Order: sequence, then C-alpha cells, then structure tokens
Amino acid sequence: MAAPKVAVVGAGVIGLSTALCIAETCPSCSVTVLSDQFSPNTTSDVAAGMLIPHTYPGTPIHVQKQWFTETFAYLFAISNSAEASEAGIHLVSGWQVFKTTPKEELPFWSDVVLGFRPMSEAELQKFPQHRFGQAFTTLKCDCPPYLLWLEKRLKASGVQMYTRKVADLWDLHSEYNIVVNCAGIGAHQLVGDEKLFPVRGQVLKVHAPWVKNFIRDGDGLTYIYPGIRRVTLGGTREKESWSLSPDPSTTKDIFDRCCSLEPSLRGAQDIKVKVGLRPSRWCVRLQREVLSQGGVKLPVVHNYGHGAGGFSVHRGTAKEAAHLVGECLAALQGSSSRAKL
Amino acid sequence: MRVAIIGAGVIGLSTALCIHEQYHGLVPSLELEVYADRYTPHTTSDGAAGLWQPYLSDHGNLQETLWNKETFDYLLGHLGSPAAKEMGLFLISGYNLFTQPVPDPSWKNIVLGFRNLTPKELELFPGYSYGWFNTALMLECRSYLPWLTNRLTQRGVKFFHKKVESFQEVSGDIFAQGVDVVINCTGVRAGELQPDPELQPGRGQVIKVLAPWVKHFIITHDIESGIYNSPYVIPGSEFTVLGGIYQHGNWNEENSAQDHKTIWENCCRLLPALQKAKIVGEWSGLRPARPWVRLERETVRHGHFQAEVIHNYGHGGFGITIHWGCAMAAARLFGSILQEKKLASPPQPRL
Repeated sequence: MAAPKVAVVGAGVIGLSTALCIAETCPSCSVTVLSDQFSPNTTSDVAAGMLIPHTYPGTPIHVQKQWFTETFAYLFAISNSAEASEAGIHLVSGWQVFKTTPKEELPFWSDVVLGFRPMSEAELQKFPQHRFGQAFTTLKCDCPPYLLWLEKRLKASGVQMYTRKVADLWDLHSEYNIVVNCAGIGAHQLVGDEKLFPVRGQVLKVHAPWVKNFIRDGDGLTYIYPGIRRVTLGGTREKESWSLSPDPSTTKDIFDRCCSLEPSLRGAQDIKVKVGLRPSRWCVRLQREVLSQGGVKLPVVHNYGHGAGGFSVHRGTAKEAAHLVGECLAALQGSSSRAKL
Repeated sequence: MRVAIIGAGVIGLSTALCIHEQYHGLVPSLELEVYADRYTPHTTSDGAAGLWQPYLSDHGNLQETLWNKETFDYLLGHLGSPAAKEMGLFLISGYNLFTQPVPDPSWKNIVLGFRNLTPKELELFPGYSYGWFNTALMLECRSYLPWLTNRLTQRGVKFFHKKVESFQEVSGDIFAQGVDVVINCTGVRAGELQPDPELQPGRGQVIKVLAPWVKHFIITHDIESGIYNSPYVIPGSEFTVLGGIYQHGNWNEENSAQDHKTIWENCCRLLPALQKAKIVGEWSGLRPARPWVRLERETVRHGHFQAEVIHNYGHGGFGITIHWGCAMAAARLFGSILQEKKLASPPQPRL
C-alpha cells in the first residue's frame, strides 16, 4: 500500500501527541490532523497540565503506571533541554495536603515523580486545616505553549492540520485508510459513546508570579498550580454538566478556597476565568474497531476518555494508539496482499 | 534621646525598625534618624536576589546560626499576612548541588523539608553527584526596603540623604546638639568611619533575565573555588538572577564583560533552557565580607563629646538571611545603653 493515509480527529493534547507518535513510528504514513478546534480553544488549553495522575477505575493500575512513567520520562527529557521554555515544560515542587489521612498513603505514582515523601510537621503548620501531606516535585505542561510546540513538531514531520468538524467517522472512509479518534468529549456525539460523560471544571488563571510552589488539596477540588506566566486556581468537578459558561459565584468560591490555602493570592491580578469539560470515562477507550458499510471497511483506533488525567498519561496512550495503528496497517497490508492472490 | 542610624540597606532599616518597635513606648523622647548616601534601589541589598540561605558552614559561629534561625522564623511568621506581598516575601524550593558528598549544613533544621537529592533528581544536573533539596524563603529587597521605609516613616523616623564622614560628625562636633547613640550599619564602607582590616569587599556580579519557567533556586558549589564562585540561578517575582562571582578584595562596582561571560556560560550549561532567556539587566555589588559579623558596642570619645556606637556590619553574602536576628541583638545592646543612662528599666516580672 502506497503511503497509507491516517486521519487523526482531535487537536488537543491527545490528538496532537498521538499524531506525532504515529508520524514517528510510521514514517511512510501520511498523517493528517482534523479538528474543529485548535489551541488555544481546546479542552487541554483550560487544564493546568500538571503531571499528577487521575486513577481510572476500569484500567489496571500497572497499565496506568506504565503510561504515566513513559509520559513523565518523555517530558523530563524535554524539560532538561534547550527546548524546555518553548515547549512550556517545567518542573514544579509543592504539596498535596489532606484534611483527613487518605486510605492510600502511597499513590501508585509516588516513585515516578521526584522526591516524594510525607510532609514534615513544620511544613504542615502552613496548612492549619490539614493534618497530613505529601511533598514532591513533578512536571507541568503549560498550554498553549505545549500544544503549539507539538504542532510545530508535526509540521516539521510533514503532518497536515485542517480545521474541519467531523460529524461522522465514516465520512472519512473515502479519503483515509485509518482513522484515529482523539475527539475527547466530542466522542460523545461523534461515536455515540454513552459511557463518556463531561466533568465540568472551572478555573481561574491569575497573575501571581511570586507563587513558585504548587498546593493541592487531596480532595482534588482545590488547587494552585504555578505556570510560566499564570497561576491556575481551581476548581470544580461537576459531573454531567455541559455548560461552558463561567459561573461568577463559582469564581468567588474557587478564589476563596485557594486564598485559604495560600493567603498571598489575595494580591493576585488580572483574573481570567475558563471552563473545560473533562472527557471522563470509567476507563480510557484505547482500542481498535473496524467500521463497515456495504462491504467497505474502515479501521478505527480510539484514544479518548482521559478525564482529569489527560496530560499525565498522554504520551503513554499516544504510543499505544500508534502501536494499534501499526496493527491496523499490518492487517490492511495482509488483506491487500491476499487480495492479489 | 536622639539616635542616628547610618546606612539604609537591609541592616540599617531593619535595625531602626526593631529599635523603634521595642523602645518608643518606653522612651517618649526617642527620636530616630537615618543617614545614608544611598537609598533603595541603589543599596547593596537591592542587588541581592533575596534568597534566605546561610553559607554552608558556620565555622562554629553558633551565634550567627541563631540569628539566621531567628530571621527565618520571623519571616515565616509573616508569610500568611497581607503584608507578605508588599514585603516581597514568598516561599521557594530548590537545589544545592555538589560534586562530592558534604556534611549537612547548620541550617538543615531551620528550612523546611530538607533532604538529600535522589539519583533521578541528580540526572537533571550532569556533573553533580550529590545535593540537597529544601524549601526556603525569598525576601526581595526592592520591595522589602520600601516596606521598611514606609513602616519607619509612619513611626515618625526621619531620613537624611547625606554621607556621614565620621562618628564625630553626628555625635556633636558639628551639630548643635548631637545624637546620643549611633548605629553603624554602613556595610562594606564601614572602614571609612573606622579602619577595619577584617572587612573586605566580596565583589559579586549578576545577570537579570526573564525565565519565568524556572520555579526553583539552583545553587552549585565548588569547594575549591569557594562560596558563590560557582553558578547559581535564583528565580524572583519579576525576573531570574544568574550569578556565581565572588572576588575578595575587589572594590570595582562596574560590570565586567569577563564575569558576564563566566556567569552566562556556566548558568546555560547548568540549565540549557536559559539560552532562550531574555537578558534584562546586569548589576555588580560589594558584599561586606568579614570573618564574623561585627555586632558590638563601643564608646567613641573625642574632645568633650562621647557617643555610644553600636556596630552592626560585615554580613557578607548573608545579610538578608541574618538581618532580623542581628537587628534584635542590636536592639538588646540599645536596651543596655538605655539602662545605663537610666532611661528605661527592663520589663518587670508580673507579681
């Protein structure tokens, strides 16, 4: 098969990193990214991009840990290189604090991040309402820089990118040999996945350049993540809410909760409010499917449903998706050579 | 009672504030005056990045370690207050890097979360095989000195832009009615008021860059070349400071092209991403280096006049780190002067 044509639907962190992995592992493939939104208007652009995994109930822990380890190693190498600032990747240290001691004192990822240890009594004094905490150093992917850097790498690899709303994957069968579905929350409509649901997150992006450490409440609802130019204050986890409009009383609530963790935030300037819908699912849908109509087949690789943990596992799932694309290709080449007999 | 503080860097202003806070209630006639030829942003303190960190070894000087601790605890207590941002005070974490194992520093239990670096962390810093991680404080003097100045002005302390040439000058020879106590916080130029061969400039130079992705301080150490002669990167609230120059005995306050090259090349080797950082400034200053801090009383006599002098200078590259402990010690010395003059008695125990 001459230059197999692969379409990747979606241009958030999952779509772009998956397209890049495919271009890397299959140099003979012609890869195209199709999306109705590109940075700065994707769900990924709202997220802080912190490498702190979200646990998927339906995916084996060893698989999640493999995804996270791969992603962390990949970004660690970039953060250590001259490209770090352009790619928006940087190390950040801080604390995860708990009002009540968690059941699991050691999360599965504690040996992947750097310097993970329980907080000392002296450190906990800064958080009088919290009784237990963990200190560690992890990585942050600032968006838009990271997405723009991925787009630049894609262009350099000859990958084309087009703004196009794909209403049905089948629409692509005549132009492409394989379709990769990285549509995130869009998959709810695109492939009718009822198991995929939004978890609405509202965040504030503020100017507070003296905040150098992250602080996260173990309940996942209140967090302070310092980025390159802005600090992300969060947040909310509203299941089944599809609203993309900022809610003013939520803004005040987030701000107050973050100020109680870090009082100096009262002096934060230029508060911008953003909303994103986490594409949540019991497990990440990372699998092959073959669509067929009237004897014509279209191999599809799904890679969506990363919920609150997209950045943390993006490279790991992208590599697995690229591997599945390789399997689709082998199957296509196998059947085309059989057809020649 | 008139008190003159000579010097308006971090030492002069904090000592003035400490004395006023403790004694203005006890001594109604207390008048404080600050004399300096340089004010913020032109003092030595203004050029420092502002990281709280003592030298690696206190050379058995427990007194200085205690003053460092007092300062840290005092600042930590202010972190949650609304004043913190105005003071230029915030928490920061980071790395100290070595080419060989070293003993833990005197300040390991003062800072927060002190620990050794893991092998994976050391992968970030090729060429370094050992190190520490801890959380400390930043106190940026370009905010802290104006904050101190505001507190002092509110308290009625007066400021004079004047180079004081001698103790006699303030204590009575020229003035109609001299001051009773002089607090000597003149830093590196204390020798001009009274020769002090122990006091030498420790010249430093820094490059200021925009590198907002750097969130940690990184201080490297080369035991051979001595403190601050090895690259360091310290991110502030507006820009990041690159440094690594310490030249003992060099009085030159001009920027050196050679030193610029040294700092730039060494810091970019340490953090390759810095190559893309935009340079926004350069500065040289003279650390007031001394084997130990001079913090003591002296009675200076000349003709009919005499004045009590409290020396508080020679804080080297750790002035910000130690300033409040020294201010408190200077205030205690001031209290003893008041006692001798029977102007104030020590607080009575409650019966």
